[in-house]
Amino acid sequence: MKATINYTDNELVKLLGSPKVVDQDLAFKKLYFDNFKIVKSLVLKNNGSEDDAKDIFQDALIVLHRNVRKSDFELSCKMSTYIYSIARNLWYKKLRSSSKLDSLEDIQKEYVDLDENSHEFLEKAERSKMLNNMIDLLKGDCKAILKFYYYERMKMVEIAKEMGYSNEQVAKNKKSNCLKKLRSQVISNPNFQR
Amino acid sequence: MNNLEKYDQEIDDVLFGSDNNSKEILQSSELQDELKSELNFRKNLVEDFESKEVQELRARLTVIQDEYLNEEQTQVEDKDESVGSNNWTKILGIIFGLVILSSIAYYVLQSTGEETNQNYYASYYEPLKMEVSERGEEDNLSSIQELYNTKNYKPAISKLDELIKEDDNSVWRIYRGISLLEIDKPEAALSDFEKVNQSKSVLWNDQAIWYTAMAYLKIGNTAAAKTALQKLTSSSDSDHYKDAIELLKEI
Repeated sequence: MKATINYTDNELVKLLGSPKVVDQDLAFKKLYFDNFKIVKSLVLKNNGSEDDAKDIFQDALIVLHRNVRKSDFELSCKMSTYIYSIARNLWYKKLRSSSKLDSLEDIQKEYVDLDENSHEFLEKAERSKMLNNMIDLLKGDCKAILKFYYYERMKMVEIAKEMGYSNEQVAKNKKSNCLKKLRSQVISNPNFQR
Repeated sequence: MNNLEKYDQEIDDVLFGSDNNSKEILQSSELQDELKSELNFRKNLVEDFESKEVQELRARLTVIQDEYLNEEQTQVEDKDESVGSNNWTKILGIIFGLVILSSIAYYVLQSTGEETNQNYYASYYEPLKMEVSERGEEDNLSSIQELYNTKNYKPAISKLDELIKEDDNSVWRIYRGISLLEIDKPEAALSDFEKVNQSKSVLWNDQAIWYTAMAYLKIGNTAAAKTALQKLTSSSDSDHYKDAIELLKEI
């Protein structure tokens, strides 16, 4: 793994926001090289282990990835400051929840106050789903259509183009049928709990 | 039209928080309970997608993290072992020798491997069914779909050529590539699949990679087929993930 290419912060944001996994991974590699050490120092200096540092850094990148993909995202500070701030927030909350510490000793002076729910988002994403991972029940085009519509928030006309359907109405009908199929599959699933 | 179909758009509007008017319509409806239950069902679907995305991302980050830590470790060791530079000459000599030997073995094996490649191709290759037009529609797409699905590949290719001239889209490239494979033109097919790979098509990239591997098997280029298959094994959510794992074990 060679992270020799120098990307600007704006380029990193673009790579992270790309739908292509290869683009995103280029950014993640660069971010590891540039930011892991400082986050590790922060965690080690504040009652954490090397494994804690790995976990927190990974969580920070997941939160960053989610934030960057929001339509109203704007990077108002340096990328390194932003990542440090997310990691700092996550580690501080973790320490407080385990009553290990009341305040943090910082490694760098620069950080931003983030008014966000990173912790809650990560917990929610990890929680087992009431519907037993419905996505696994989806087959064929259905998975793509529902993902495009409900997760990527694409418009029907864009979905029709992406899927090669003749028009928007075909995509609408398919989406409706897919929901119907999924609903009946979920209801007939013995593990499904209402 | 049932109740869910009738209020389909309003439920989605409330789900995405995009229209207060829809909220009022749902609240004033006599079917509140049914619609509320449907809204929860769709909320869970969105959460499931988010959760799946996080799981996949975590798996990718773990790989990247391991690579980064290994590289860090190697750099530390390199600094420590600066005295042993002579050993590098020996190691390079051994690697060079191994590369030469492997190349010879590769060319010997390749000559006997072509027949096996064709067997793998026959076992794993299956044309993707075309489902771009709804039943009963009578238009150009229906006629292409009919030609393609009934294995009339040459006329299907002519029509797909026209379509690509009008709208160079990953979907048409995939189906033309598969049609070209079917009429024994794997090199031409590869160019279509490559074009799809260059696009940002979330849906068709995996298919393009899979059929790229198939085309290489047909040509007899096992190494290139393996490279393509390995790309599909990086995420368990890839189309053809299981096939790629199995095929990689065999070739």
